[in-house]
Amino acid sequence: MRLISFKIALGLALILPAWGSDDIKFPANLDRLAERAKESVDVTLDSSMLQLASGFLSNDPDDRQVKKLVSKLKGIYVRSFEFDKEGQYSMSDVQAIRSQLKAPGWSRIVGVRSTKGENSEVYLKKTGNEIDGLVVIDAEPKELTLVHIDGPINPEELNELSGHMGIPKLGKSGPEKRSKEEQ
Amino acid sequence: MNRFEDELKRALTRRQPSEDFTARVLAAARRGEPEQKDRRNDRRAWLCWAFAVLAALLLVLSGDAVYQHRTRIVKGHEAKRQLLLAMRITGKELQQVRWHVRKISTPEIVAQ
Repeated sequence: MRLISFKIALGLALILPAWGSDDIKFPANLDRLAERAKESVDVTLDSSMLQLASGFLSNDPDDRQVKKLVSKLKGIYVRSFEFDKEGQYSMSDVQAIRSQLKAPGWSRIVGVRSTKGENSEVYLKKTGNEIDGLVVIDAEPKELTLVHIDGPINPEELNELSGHMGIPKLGKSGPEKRSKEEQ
Repeated sequence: MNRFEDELKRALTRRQPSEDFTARVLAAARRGEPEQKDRRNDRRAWLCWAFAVLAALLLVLSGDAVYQHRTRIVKGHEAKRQLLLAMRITGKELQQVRWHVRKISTPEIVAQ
């Protein structure tokens, strides 16, 4: 009898977190895009990896700021692809992610659409007054970038990092300056 | 009292051992020697083996600890690199979005 209850408890313990979790899943198609991409970035850092990475950050001000920023995070996931030509990815790949970012948990705070086909969206997950997650989707004709930051994040802290560690400072020159800094 | 003294004297009187006493003792010693030697050799061999096993165990454990430590360092540096890369990309993307929003809301600032 005790063994059966233990098995049931164990089963529930295994099933419930997966059932209750509202993790954003990057579609499997996305990984195949890397084969077609000129350049691709795949960052998957769960909480244990973030803790490990934090341990290797130094004590200089930039690193301390990053440490503070990631200390409460549950995960950081980035997929970024740069293609030689246009039309290498389909919008259904992006839609698969968009469909997961639904109310009441998620809300789109920014949606930019340009005639040049540059679409940027920022989604926030709010729990009370706290921001509990951030998703950035940047879909350009030759570029696709998806960022998912899981956990409590303060955009101000993220903003403080601009101008450091290769993150461009927001200036009048905008993306032009960004591309220069990238090179 | 005298009787007791007599008995004591008799008991302590020096007596010559029998003629074959030495031979008997030596024979007995010789009989026991190989057994003792075997036992001593066995103990020594066992100790050698135990020491070898212990040394091997220590070697494996310390090797594993060094390997784990190195793996952790490599993993940690890779995680740090990925974290900084992720921060850079996120920062850039957010700045870009911000710039787009700013461009839409205050076009005159961007046009300058």
